Parts: sequence; C-alpha cells; structure tokens
Amino acid sequence: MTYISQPSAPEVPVPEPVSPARQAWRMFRAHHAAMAGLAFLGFICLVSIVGPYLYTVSPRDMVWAPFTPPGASQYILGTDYLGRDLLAGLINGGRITITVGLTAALIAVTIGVTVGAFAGFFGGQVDNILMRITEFFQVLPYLLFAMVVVMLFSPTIINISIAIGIVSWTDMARLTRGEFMRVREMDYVKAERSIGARNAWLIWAVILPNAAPPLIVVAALAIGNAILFEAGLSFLGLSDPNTMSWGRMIGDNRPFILDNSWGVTLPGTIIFLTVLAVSLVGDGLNDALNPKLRHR
Amino acid sequence: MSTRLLSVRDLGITFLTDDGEIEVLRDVSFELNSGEVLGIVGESGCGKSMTALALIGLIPKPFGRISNGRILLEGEDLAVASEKRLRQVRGNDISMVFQEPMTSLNPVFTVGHQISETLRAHFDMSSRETWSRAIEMLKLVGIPSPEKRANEYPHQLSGGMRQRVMIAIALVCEPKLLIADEPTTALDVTVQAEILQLFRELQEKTGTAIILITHDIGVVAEMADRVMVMYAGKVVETGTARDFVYDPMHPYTHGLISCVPKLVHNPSYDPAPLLEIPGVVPSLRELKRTGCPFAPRCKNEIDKCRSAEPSLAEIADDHAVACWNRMETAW
Amino acid sequence: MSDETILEVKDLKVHFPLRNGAVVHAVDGVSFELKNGMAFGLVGESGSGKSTTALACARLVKATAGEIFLKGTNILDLDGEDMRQMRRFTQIIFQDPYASLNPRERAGAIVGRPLDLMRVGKPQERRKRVAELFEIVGLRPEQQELFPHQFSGGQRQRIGIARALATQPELVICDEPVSALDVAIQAQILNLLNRLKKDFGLTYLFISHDLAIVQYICDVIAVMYLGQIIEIGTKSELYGNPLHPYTNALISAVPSVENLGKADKGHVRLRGEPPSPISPPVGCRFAGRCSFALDSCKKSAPRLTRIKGEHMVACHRINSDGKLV
Repeated sequence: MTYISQPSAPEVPVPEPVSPARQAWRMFRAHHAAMAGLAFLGFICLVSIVGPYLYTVSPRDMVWAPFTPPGASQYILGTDYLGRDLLAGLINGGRITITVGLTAALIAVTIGVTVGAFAGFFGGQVDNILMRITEFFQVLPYLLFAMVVVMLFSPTIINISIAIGIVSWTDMARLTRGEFMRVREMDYVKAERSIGARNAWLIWAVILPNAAPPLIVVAALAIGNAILFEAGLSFLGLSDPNTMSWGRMIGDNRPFILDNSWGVTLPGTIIFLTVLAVSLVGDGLNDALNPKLRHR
Repeated sequence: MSTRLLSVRDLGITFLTDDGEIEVLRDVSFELNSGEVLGIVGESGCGKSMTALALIGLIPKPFGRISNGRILLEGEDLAVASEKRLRQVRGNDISMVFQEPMTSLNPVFTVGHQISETLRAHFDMSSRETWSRAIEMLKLVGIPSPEKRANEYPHQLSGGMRQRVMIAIALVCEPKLLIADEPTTALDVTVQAEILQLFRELQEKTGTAIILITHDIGVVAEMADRVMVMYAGKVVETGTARDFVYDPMHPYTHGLISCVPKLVHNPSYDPAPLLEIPGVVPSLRELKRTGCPFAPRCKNEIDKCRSAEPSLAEIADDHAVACWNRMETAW
Repeated sequence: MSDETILEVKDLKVHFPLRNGAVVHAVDGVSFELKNGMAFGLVGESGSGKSTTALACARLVKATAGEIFLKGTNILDLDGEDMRQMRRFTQIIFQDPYASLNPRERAGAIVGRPLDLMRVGKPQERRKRVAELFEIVGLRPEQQELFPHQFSGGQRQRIGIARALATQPELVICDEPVSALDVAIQAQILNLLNRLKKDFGLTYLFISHDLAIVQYICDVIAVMYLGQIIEIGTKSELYGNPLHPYTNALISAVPSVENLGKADKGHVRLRGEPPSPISPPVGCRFAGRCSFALDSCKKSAPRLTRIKGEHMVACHRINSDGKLV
C-alpha cells in the first residue's frame, strides 16, 4: 500500500483530549449557585448516611417533654408533640426522603427513557402505540393514583417509590422521544447504519449518549419533584408507619402548628432547601450541557 | 461624478471572552461611493460579517464593542451614534439582506404585511399607501402576481421567492446602502443567477450602493466594482474587481482565486491539482501579535513576515496590499 | 478504469408517502452504471433527487422499485446478515462534518468503528490500521485520542474520509463532501479525494450541486431534474457539448471570473420554478420552464436516448445527431 505524503504541519503540538463530559464539568464548576447546591446535597446525603450512626437517639422514642423549643434542652432542635427528638427525626427522615426521591426518580427515568427511546427510534406504529399509553398515564390524576397504589399495597418505601415513579415518567418519555427523533436523523447515526450497526447499539450506545444532556437536567429535577411528592404523601399520612420522613414530620405536627411551629417549620425548611439545591444543580447542569443557551 | 457615501477609518472591534478581550477587527479602513458595489471576500472567521454588523450598529452586546475608529456615513459618525439614531439609520439609510431567507422572515405575518411594517416604522404613511407600496416592491423584485403573493405567508414561498421578499423589504425605504451577507449561498445556482441579476438591475435603477459579502469568487467577479479581501480581522488587499481577478498581489488573494475549481467548456479539459492554501484560519484567541497573520499558511513567506506585521500600502491607483513579499507576476 | 461494473442501478424509484395520502416522487426511474475506478457525478439542484438516489444505493432509504446491483448482487433482495456483509463494499462521506461524527467518541474510535463492526482482524491490527488511515488522510496518528470538537471543519472531513476508507470499500459515495467547507479547505479535500482515488483505485459516486467541482472530480456525469436523469455523458461530452436545455441553463448559471462585472448578462434565464414532486407533469418535467418546449413536450415524456459514445439525453427537441430540431 502506498502512503500519501501529508501537507499538515507536524510542529504543532497535539492538545490534550477534552471529552464533552469534561467540558461540561468545567462549565458546571464555574456556576457558583449550582456548586453551592451540589455541596448542600452532598451534606444532606452524608448526614443521611452516617448521621444515624453518630447521633443514635431514636426518632420514635419519647425522650423529653413534648413541645420543648429548640435550644431549651440537650436536644438542641427541641421535641415534637410526643416528645420525640426533632434532630433525630430530621436525620433519620432525610434517609427515607432521599432514598424515596432517588428511587422514584430512577424508576421514572428508566420507564420514561425506555418508552421514549423506542417511540422515537422506531417511529410509525410503535410510536403511535407508546404515545397513546403515555397519554393515558399523563391524564391520570397523579396524587389520586399514587394514593390508590399506596393504599392498595402496603405503604412501604418501595411501594411509595414505585407509585411516584409510575406517575412521573411521562414528561421524561416525551422529551426522550423528541431528542431521539432529532439525533436519529444525524449523519453520524446514518454513518453507523451504513456500516451495519444493529438497532440495539444505535439506541443505547450512539443515540442515547447524544440525547442525554437535556434528559440529565430533567432527571435531576425529577429527584426534586419526587421529594416533594413523597412529602405530600407522607403529609397525608400515606407513609410507612415504621419510618420517619420529612413529610411525615410535617403531617404529624400539623395540628400543633400554633403552639409548636418548629415541628413544622424545621422539616419544611429542610425540604425547601433540598429541593432548591436540586433545582440549582439542574440549572447548572443545563448551562453546562447546553452551552449554546448560555449568555442570553 | 459619484459622491463619497461611506468612509470607514481604522475600525477596530473587540470581544470580551472567557480568555479576556480579543480583537476581532483591526484597522479596517475603506471607502464606498454611492452607486458602487464593494465585494468583501475571505474565509469564515475573517471578520467579513463583523464588519457588516458594525456598519449597522448590530455588534452583539454586551460582549462586543467598537474599540477604535470611525464609520462615516455621509459625514456622520455611526460609531458614536446613539441607539435611537442607529434605529433610524437601519432600514432607512442602510439595510441588510441575510443568508438564510427562511429564518429572517417572520413566519406569522404575510409578506405584504412585513414590507408595509418596515415602511410604517420609518415613515408616516397610511396603511393603504404602505400596502400599495409593498405590492409595487414585490413587482419590482420580480415576484409574479404580487397582489396575490402579498397575502401569502413565508412558508408558502420557495427559497428564491423568500430571498426576493427579503430584498424587497431591504429596499422599500430606498436605502443609500444595502449590505448583502452571503445573499445567495443558500440558493440553487439557477436561482442565484436570477437573484444576482436582480441585484444588478435594482442597483442600476435606484443607485443604491451595495456591500456584497461572499466567499464565491465568481459572484464577486460578476457583481463587484471593487473588492476587499479580509484575513484574520484585517484588510489584506483592496482593489478593483479586475485587479482582484487578473492581478492579485497578496498571496492569500491569489490562493483564494486559484483554489476553486473553475468550470471549463473545453472538451479536452484535464484538470491539474488545485492550488491549496494549507492549514486553517487562525483562531483570533491564538493569533500571535507579531508578524503577518497569514505567514504560517503563506507560500511566499520570508523572514520579515514572522517579525513585523505589514500594513496596507498603496501599490497602484486604487490597489493596496498588506504584504512584505507580494506576488510579482500573478498569472 | 477497468470494464468491471461495480454498481448498476436499474429503473430506481424512491417514493415517500405523505400523511395526507399524497406521494412524493423523489426518484422516479433512474438508471446508470459505474465502472471500476470511475468517478460518477450526479448533479442537480435541491429537490432533484440526487442525494436520495445515493442514499438508496447505500440502502439508507428504502427503494420503492427497481434494482441496484453491487458487484453483481441485487442488494435490494438482501437482508439481515447478507446485507451487513455487503455494506463493507460501500461507504459514505457525508456533507456536514459537524453532524457526521459522533461528538462523544474519540477520533480514533470513530475511524475504527467500521473495523470493529465488521470484525476485521485482531484488535491490535485494527489499531495499526487506524493509525495508518490517519496518515493516509493527512492527519497525525497522535490525534486519535482527541474528540471531534477539537478539530477544524476540514480535519473533521478528513476523519470522515478515513472512516469511509477503513473497510477498504470499492465504492465510496460522496454526498456533497465539500459544500459545507470554506473555499480554501475545499481545495484540500478535493485534492485528497483525487489522490485517494488514484492510490486505492476507488470508485466514486459523487453527489454535488456545484458543476465546477463535479467537472474537477468526475469522469462521467449525470444531470438530474425532478427525480430523473435528463442528460448523461463523459466530462468532455457534457461540458464541451451540453445538449439538454436544462443542462445549458445550469452550466450558464455558474458565476465565473471570466464574466467580470456582467452578472446581468450571459446567463440563460429560466422561467418559473420546478414543479412539485408530488404531482410531476405527465410530459417532459422541464417543459414548463423550457424556452424550446413545444406542445408535444407537455404530452409525452422523452426517453433517455443515446447520441454518441456515452452521451445520452432525454429531450424531444434533440435529434439523434445531437442537433436541436
């Protein structure tokens, strides 16, 4: 085989490879609010994981006089109407809330991405059928459906997560479908087809990574939504009676809000801050992954 | 004879980026008489479109700004004009036609409406007057049955028709200067021929001066009276279209002309390999500030090119080149 | 050029049904033949069906009717693994180098993909081959680790070319390979394509709207109008003696430096716009815009008729001697 002499100038040094993911991380790091949100989420997760081992007070036991305000006893955040330690409640409840939030979001993303990917990739009849199914779930009254699922089956963490996941995957499916339809027509997908790539490879290894940026943003926000949803269900009393969660703390202390406002405001503030942090991270991800939309 | 319409002197534009301020345009100077067609050529990233945007005061703010120089339109300096004044100038004295006729028309209004709107923005006219003027304009740019077409929406028209509508909008206020940024690049070659012909006819009829930005050497040759070649934000050669085609002095100009295959009618034509300009246009961030920016790609490079930057020097009447070692006998 | 036929397309039709029941006749009865080592140009304006024809030859769009013989096998009859195996003989170079490379893969992986898919050789051999391909197209093997966004447009197109050459295909379909590139870069890529053709004995099916580029690259050229070939001939036949009125208009519309300051003169003007491919006219499809058309042109469609040598034209007004009657 003959070689062709090349005209390119060899004295220019080859730069470091910069992957799109690394580029995105650089952009994300420059987003201060998102980094603050990420730090807060990291703190919440860390406390939820190791907290119960370091602070061993049970969130279910009566430890002090009821309605003790913060700072008035050795239990620094005070106690609720049953004399239970609020700090222990927040630490242990965080574990449940975060777990449910992540699991529910994972379920929603898995269903949504799978449905959307097949609909967007194959189009035609497949798309028609999958989209009708999606519409069916979209018009379900979310809260009612989740309540029915939780009440029919026992209100365990996993059932609650499934209930939330099932009612919140439709947006993900629609977005995934749209992105798949866009990326499917790109020439690099045609190039893969022209060398005989199989559909499974095209869907999961070629199109999905390129459709991922907006999906990641929505998935991050789905975690926040799931946390709020869980809080709502717990507030209505539809939570695992054996576990503490932030929403349940609010629900339990609701009747005493006038005498014992911290029993409601403390978990409420934590939920607010956590969801805000998730949104900030989502915002940062959006800027980092869709750089063309920046500087508007 | 013809009067001086536009005079740009030492125009400089800087952009604020993550890496600090970079100069996207440096020492750009040129003159334009009324009724004249000036072609601006160069590869993308050479500052052609930025020059055009500067003229109509549309440099993307807040990142870009005019850092130096003057833009004199009939003696008035547009570089320091207020936003309000620039709005009056745009459409009225200077108007612009862009490359993509699909995205520069508003899809929710009829084309007749869009032409009359432009008129209403600048003159105190009744809607009956503006509408009949709009139909006149559509007729002028060669759109068949203009009364019917005026009531149609952009998506109902073909690409060539849309570009004609854009030209109608640009010309409806009878501007003194029309800036056309790659006006035919998105069009088919037969449609391009018609649009160019239309430009020529309208220009002869109305006496509008045209700045034509293009990368197509053939289009420049057919359309322009004078040509300005830009490279890395600088003017490297200016001259008449004849000079440009038959006597290019800058190695970049020479390269641009000879790197394009030309259509030959001779049946026994056996093409020789095209002349290549090696490498790519330097990114303005990486541009070294010493020496000629074109030196790394230049076949005529001498030692001096790396140490000192040449400036535009007049070598003949109306022909100026920025080069230390210019092409002696071009062809 | 040898006499072996690489690709033969017979009466190819590609029709796209629309939602409202209408049918777009994108390609409507196209036949041509590519000999080994030849560069065959398909020119036409947007909507002429040239790209669709090319994609059909790579089985990337579904042909409605007709036959496509690749090295003697009708690929429209193949499916599954048989078709996959045939794909190594045909590769495509795409128009837009910013859309044709997967932004999340490294340049080396992109070029090596066809080898991995076809399981050519051992992994080490593939790596060696990729490095070799980088050198062949004028890139440096050290650049394999970089991602597409780290290359310029011209370099990206070189990566696309390297990928197309990976499986040592015999037929390379070039779909407007330089029209998205800057003028100075176009020359680099065109020269590279010409060198590769010579060095590896490639056969090109070259799609372009630019008549000057087609003349520079191609040996035989077919002009398409509204889904049909209206004239076909060798380079010297077609450019030296264009017969069809549309070919004439097309050639004369190309702006040239020889036409200095004369944009308003010297071009053949076409009337109106091309008819819709949804309901193409019964007779000659160009008749409505042709200044030579007679009433009879609108009634029956002209057939592609051989004039001399390779030169064929589909026009009622051209007689068998190639004269206008």
